[in-house]
Amino acid sequence: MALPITVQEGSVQHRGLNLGRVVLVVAVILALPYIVAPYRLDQITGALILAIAAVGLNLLSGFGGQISLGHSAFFGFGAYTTGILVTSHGWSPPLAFMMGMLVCFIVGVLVGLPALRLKGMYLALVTLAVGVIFPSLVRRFESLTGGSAGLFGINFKAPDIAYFAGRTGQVVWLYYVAVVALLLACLAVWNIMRGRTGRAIVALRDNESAAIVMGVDRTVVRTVLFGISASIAGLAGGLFAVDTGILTPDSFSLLFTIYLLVAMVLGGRATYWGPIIGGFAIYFLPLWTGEITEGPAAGVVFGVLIIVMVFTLRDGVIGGLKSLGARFLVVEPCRPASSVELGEDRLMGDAEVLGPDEEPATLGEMPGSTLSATDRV
Amino acid sequence: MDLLIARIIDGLNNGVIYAFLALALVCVYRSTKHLNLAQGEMAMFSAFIAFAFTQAGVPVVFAILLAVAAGAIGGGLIERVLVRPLGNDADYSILLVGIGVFLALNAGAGLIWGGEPLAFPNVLPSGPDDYFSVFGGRLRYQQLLMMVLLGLVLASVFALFKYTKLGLAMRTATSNPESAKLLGIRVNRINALGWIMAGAVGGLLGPLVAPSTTLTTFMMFSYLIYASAAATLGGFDSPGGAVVAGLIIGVLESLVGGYVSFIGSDLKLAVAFVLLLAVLMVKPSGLFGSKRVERV
Repeated sequence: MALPITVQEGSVQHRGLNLGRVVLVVAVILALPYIVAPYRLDQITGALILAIAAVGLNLLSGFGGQISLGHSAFFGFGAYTTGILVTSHGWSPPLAFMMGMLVCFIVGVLVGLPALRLKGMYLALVTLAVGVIFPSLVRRFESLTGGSAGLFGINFKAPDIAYFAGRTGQVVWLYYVAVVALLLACLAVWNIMRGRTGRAIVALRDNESAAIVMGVDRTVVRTVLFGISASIAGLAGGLFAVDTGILTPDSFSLLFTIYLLVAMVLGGRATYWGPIIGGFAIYFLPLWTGEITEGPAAGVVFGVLIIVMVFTLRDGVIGGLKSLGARFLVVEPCRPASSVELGEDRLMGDAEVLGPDEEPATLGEMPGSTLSATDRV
Repeated sequence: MDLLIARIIDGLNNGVIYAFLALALVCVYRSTKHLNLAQGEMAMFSAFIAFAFTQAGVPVVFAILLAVAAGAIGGGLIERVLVRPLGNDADYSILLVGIGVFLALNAGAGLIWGGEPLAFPNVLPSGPDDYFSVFGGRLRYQQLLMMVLLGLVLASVFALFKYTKLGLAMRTATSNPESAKLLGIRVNRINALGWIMAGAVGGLLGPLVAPSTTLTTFMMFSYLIYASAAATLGGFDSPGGAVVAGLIIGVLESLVGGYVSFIGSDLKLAVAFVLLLAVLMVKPSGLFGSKRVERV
């Protein structure tokens, strides 16, 4: 059989492939608790939490094009809100997660306001400010947060079901909680990005002035985007709180933000799977380099590895996988209806049909852009 | 009054360090438009190199000069090997490369010289009585030296940009790389020069700071954060702005931290960034930065 195989988009084979992918993911998720040791599953939960935070960052920095060096703070706000509500006020963790997300949304919008006027480096530095100030705030308000000594005893007891019984059951429970949270986060991002708002976000990233002229409300889109991205990071923080059970200000340092950035870019910026893969990479690579070497050498290997990956995988792991996959399988997109009678709605409708890994088209490459300008008006 | 003077001097001492590092950040930013996250670690590594030379019996002053040379070579190498091949339009990639260099240098220094803090000799005498008295405050020789050197470095950077043909080429390459190329300016080499200058400035700073912080792998980390704030406040493409902003941040932080009890020492860093935020709200391109006009 000649490679690559060509499949028509929307055909039975193509749908079958997509369904197969979903089935595979579900199967892996369900099978993991049975095939890996509990300590490994615990690590996977940690990686999932990082992945959620990276998904949040990706929404803002990948799709939205605004570098944030402050996501450790949003992660921290989520974690501490959850931690304090659960330990001091006896809230149930799911409610506390939501409260944490709400707090992060508000803080995110507040940070997003100055971000409206700033670009590039200046924006990065403002978000960096938030990230850097957060640990000092935690230390300053010691009575509330436990300060440097830490906040203890945050847990999320598994429901009383045989499947989640015992210590192992607790690990499995947290794993499923993290999986569900990640799915929800991905679903939220996917829903935002494939619609009108998503196109507005991408348009603002690619050419802000043009987007505003076209009627995109920059203030609303940017601040809400900031808020949503922050609240996803806050959800990850809340999970981190119940997963580790102890919070110290040092967990939310600048280094954490940097790791998230690495996760997002290495995985594949502005893709749906990228931050997830990146989250796993950034969690397991240091563990792995720590296993094969000792002490500082692990850091050197990790640093060099990041550089090597930047050079070999310019579009992240996802980009690399895609070009590899293209050698075996090509999905031929169905041609957008070229007749004008169908009208604008039909054309825009086509633009929304995207695979799970695809970035929405940029302004210049919208399907239908072959039409002449007069046709579109 | 004495306390006020002491706090101002204290702030200036820190401010000089921020200003130095901010100057290095600006050199890189002017050439390739990137925030070099590894700048602090490059300075730290240079300090360790100077340390290695002093261990081998080289006098401190020459060891520092060698460190400056090493810093310059390092900066040039990073630009040539890790930044240039990625090309334009690789903001995130270069940010990541910076992170990679950061981690590798940090861990590398720990690997070679161990994690224990090391003592680094002062250039000038630093006994208990070696200071100038300024309105009752104590300005130590080493700190005065740093201020003088900062002034010299800034003056020479300024002179280079303003009065030499090379400086003109550098400004051209910054403001419009395409046109600069058409005029026969080797933009790549000019960019490399920015990194070399940054490496050299870092190489000078590292060994000068090392006596007061002791020589450790994490000696530069918090300075990098302050320096980025200073560079932003000053306007990221203005060397003079970076230095002024660095000094302002240093003094203000020391005064606010000292006099406002709510702030204390915990929230000192926050002061710097609140100041930064306030200024950026009014002037989005910093105090002395050039405004960017965009064509649609």
